[in-house]
Amino acid sequence: MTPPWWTWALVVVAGSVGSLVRYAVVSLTPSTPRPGSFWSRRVHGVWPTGVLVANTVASFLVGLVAALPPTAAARLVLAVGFGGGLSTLSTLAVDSVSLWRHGRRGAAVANLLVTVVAGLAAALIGAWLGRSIGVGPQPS
Amino acid sequence: MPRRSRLPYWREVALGGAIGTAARIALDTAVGPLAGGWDPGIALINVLGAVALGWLSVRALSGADPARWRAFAGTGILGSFTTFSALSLALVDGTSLGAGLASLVVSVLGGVAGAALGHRWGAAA
Repeated sequence: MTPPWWTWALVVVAGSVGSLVRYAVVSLTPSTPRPGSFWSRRVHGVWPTGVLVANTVASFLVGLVAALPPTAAARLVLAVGFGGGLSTLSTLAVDSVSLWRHGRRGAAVANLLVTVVAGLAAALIGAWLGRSIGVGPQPS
Repeated sequence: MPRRSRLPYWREVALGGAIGTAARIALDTAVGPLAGGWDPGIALINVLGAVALGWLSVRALSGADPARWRAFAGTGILGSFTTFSALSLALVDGTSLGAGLASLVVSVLGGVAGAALGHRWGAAA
């Protein structure tokens, strides 16, 4: 079944909102990149906290949504749209490469490992929470 | 004198975020599952996005306001084009474990290699 066009429009809007939340989180955490030195500041003594928070929260959200029984459209909007816009992989990869190239190799590897472990844990906790509040998919 | 916003480029990020999300859906839909059952769309998107952001991150952008372009193209388009939550989701939504792990490993390792390659291209150009 193909979702109607307006579902995709909502997914795109949700992706935009997710991006805005990520921008706000990254901008307002200690890893704040200032305009003009967008990637340079965060590799000197700072940890890319904002991206980690965005990815972990998005993983929790999509785990929760997967365990709740919203319609297929709501699932697309929340998981593919908002969660996809909030989370990111490109910045994670570039931050780790930047850390590595500035000699912070432990931080580069830790950034990847912590993100993956926290993301999987958050998705599992979200899914568990979704099921345990008793409205999970009923066996049919 | 207007108060200086802490999120000066929110319009650029919002527009770029919409574009990146639409591009992700289009590409993921166009790339179907392989014979083994693994759908490589998200991993491909993540590696491509990492190459592009690696390139962008070392480019000295010309123009009046390079930070504005980085917010639009980097934080907005490439940030929302690539995704991490889809990787987490695949491990809890009934996708086979092998397919989920393949997407995760290719995205993370391929993303790092792609970002390093993008860095190299951007610095050499």
